[in-house]
Amino acid sequence: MGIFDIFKKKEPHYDSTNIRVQDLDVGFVFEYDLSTWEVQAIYEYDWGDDYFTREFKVSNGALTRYLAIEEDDELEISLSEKVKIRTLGVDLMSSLMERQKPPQTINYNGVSYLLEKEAPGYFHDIAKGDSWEEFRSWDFVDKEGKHILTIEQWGDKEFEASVGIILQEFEISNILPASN
Amino acid sequence: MGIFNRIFKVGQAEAHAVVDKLEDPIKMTEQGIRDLKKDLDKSLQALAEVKAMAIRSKKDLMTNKEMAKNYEQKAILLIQKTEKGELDPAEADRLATEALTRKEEAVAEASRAQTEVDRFETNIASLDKNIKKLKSTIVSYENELRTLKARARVSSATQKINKQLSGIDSTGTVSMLEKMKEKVAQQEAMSEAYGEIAMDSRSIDDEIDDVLSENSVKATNSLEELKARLKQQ
Repeated sequence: MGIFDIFKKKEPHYDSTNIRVQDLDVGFVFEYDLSTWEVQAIYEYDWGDDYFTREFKVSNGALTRYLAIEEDDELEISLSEKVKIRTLGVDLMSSLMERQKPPQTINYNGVSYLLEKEAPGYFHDIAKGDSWEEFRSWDFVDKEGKHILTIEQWGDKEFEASVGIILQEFEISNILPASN
Repeated sequence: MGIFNRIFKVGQAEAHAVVDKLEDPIKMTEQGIRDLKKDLDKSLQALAEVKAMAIRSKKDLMTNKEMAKNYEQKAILLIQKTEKGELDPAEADRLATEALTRKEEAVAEASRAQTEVDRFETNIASLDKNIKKLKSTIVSYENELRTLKARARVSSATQKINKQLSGIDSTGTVSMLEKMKEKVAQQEAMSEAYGEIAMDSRSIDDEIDDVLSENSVKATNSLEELKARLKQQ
């Protein structure tokens, strides 16, 4: 650091008059569904070919959710909650372990989810340094494209599942930054 | 006024003139907006902090309410067990009293959390109001600056065009064309003058040579032939 760097002031990475979902960081708060949510952690996913996605662990005090952001041609936002994999089907876990293949359709809470893609990737908790974990995920989407369901495999026998909804950017409002 | 005062006044006036030249109103407005944005950012961060504290207080409130409910249920279960003869009444009373004490502690904690939540909500409302005002001021300044910048660009371009069209601008195209015209006219006049001078300076010998030149003889012969042909007809 040079002597003049002491006087340099850090400029925020966002426009204060228009903070967007892509600007979210740990400590930021926002409004969604008449509730205030705080970003508690950021996770990064590496899908290969320089393609990364971000996920924010958010809490409104009573609930914990995961806000995923994908910026491909357009911005895709989803809000999910973790569910026990057994609630998705009694044989699902054993079939995944034996055949490494999920069913084409999963019915959960009255919604029919269709298998959309399978992708291997690497996961990284930004707060925990630079250690990446390998995993595989299967994404399911309902016919209307409003509900999503994800199953992830970590190691040989560990599975995690989450269900969620696709959000429009305007549904997340009043984003406020954390102090530096 | 003394001489030194007058000199000082002249210096002051000159310094002001220099500073006036250095001042760019657009740049100064931009800096003003940047400063306002810094203030806004600080206010937003403060609001975020208060909102995060409110979330934590709400969580405390909920946890303590749940805890109070849980201890009360435990106390009821202990009494029920005594009634069924499953537990020594003295022991049940001791444990139930302990459970109810913890319940009261949780209720007190919940009440404290509720007070905090209310206080934070008031703070949030007041901060939010100020922030909205500041944000709308900045947005309106930014819009105004954008319009002014566009107007400044248009007027500068119009001024340049008009200056060129009116011929005031010495570097303008119209002026250049006029200069070019003058130069060409001057060159033409010069060549004409040189031509006249050349004609005037011909000697008798030149004239004789011209008449006797081959071309001239040929032309005379042709003329004679033509005259003869015409006579025969």
